[in-house]
Amino acid sequence: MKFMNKKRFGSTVMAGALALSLAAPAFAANNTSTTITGAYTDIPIAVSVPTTGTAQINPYGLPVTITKSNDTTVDLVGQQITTKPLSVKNQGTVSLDMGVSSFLVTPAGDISIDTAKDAGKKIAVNLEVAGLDDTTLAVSSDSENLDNLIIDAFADEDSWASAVTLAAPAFAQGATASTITPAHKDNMAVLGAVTPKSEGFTYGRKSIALFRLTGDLAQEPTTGTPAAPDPWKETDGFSAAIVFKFTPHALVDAAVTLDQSSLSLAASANANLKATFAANDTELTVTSWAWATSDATVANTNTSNTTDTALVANTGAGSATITVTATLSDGSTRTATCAVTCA
Amino acid sequence: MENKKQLDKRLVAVIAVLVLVIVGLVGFLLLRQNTIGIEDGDIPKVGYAANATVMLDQNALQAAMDEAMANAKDGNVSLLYKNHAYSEDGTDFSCYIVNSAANKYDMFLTIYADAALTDQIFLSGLVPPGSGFESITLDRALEAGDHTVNVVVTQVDTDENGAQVIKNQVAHTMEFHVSQ
Repeated sequence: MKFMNKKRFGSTVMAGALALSLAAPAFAANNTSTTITGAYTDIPIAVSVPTTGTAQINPYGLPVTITKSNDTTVDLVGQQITTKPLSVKNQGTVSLDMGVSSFLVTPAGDISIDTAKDAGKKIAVNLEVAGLDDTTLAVSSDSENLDNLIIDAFADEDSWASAVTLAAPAFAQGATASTITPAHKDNMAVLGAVTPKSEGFTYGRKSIALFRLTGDLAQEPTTGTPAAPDPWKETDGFSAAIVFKFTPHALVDAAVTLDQSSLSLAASANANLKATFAANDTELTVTSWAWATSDATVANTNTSNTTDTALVANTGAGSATITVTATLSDGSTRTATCAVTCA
Repeated sequence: MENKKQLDKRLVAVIAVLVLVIVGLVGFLLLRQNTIGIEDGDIPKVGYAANATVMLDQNALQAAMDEAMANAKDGNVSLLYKNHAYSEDGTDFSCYIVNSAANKYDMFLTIYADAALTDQIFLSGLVPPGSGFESITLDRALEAGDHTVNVVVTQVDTDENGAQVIKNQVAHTMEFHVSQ
């Protein structure tokens, strides 16, 4: 199959060549390639994306075995749509938000696509993206073992526990693609930055996301009423197309929150406050907790308490503020407060 | 005597300019290899489950996976670009799109104004790894405002017969901005 719009491109090439013969220095700025040597103020997006893949519709979820480069194997089991291990890797020094601007599954044969399967050949197809957080993947870019580590992660269902799912839009049998609005979703994963080194770079533990197609379909489809067998045929199938969207990720700082931002205590009453730490895009951890009150004669708490939970007691009518301070592994602190009103 | 020296210098300068123009032209023609007639072999257009079919037989399923894993070699494309491109007139855009030096194959770009990949607004020549675009001229002008365009990156390989074939394809979005 020839690539599209060749005549149009041919005329463009001819026009470009003619223009060049008149003004050779202009070619670098007019649709032609040139070696990039300049300094750029913005950091470019650098990401490795797998290309055209294959999938198999596997109604019975039969196991398939993947043999790694070290001749060990892993099995994919119970997946009604099976894809080879697919992953996206950030190769730049900025974290990226990975989204999908277009996801469209075009059915073939007797199949139609919908958000849920039926007893016949209406099937559901989903795109799943799982951002990884795995220190074993923080390897050099030229590591020969990286592909094997990714295969292991892909085959481990635990990797998919927090996967973000995007359902393919309904696509009736015989419909044309131009009438279907593709599905899209931003922020399906955050790809952590890599660390440059003298040659190449080192992946971070969050630099890689897995993706796959999954689905739900009848093992033995039927048709009509009363239901008659409508066996799967070799001509039944689909094609899926994905357009990626990558944008620099706005880093989210570590933060502490309390389970209650305000609290009313009856006379002589008390209540617990629970603090929660979120590392977000940092690698920080909490090394210690501290609690304080703005007025111990109104709302008191044990200031020697170093846990993430504190008991607050009503010691007198009025208002006071309870503050929890988390000291982090880099020595910095984060705080959260609760306004306490005591009867 | 003085006049003759000046004349010689002018002649040398003219010859040098001519040589530079010729070298530039040859370089252009070599770099801008035609993307017409590139065969895509068994590789379909942008997709991640091209022609997925039903498989009820364990051996056939395993064979399909084995083939997919074999094809996965050199199956990744390293993208290197900036998300935003800018234009004053809607046609000439300053941009940053590079065939990453990490790639093995030449590539060409096709840019579409629509998500259905039907409204083509740009098609490049072949770009070797390590080279790219700092500016492009679209086939038609985009209106003033912001446009999300779809960039299809196609890598090209040479088969055993010496013919160019499409090796890999991926697609991503970019934001094109035209001044009001």
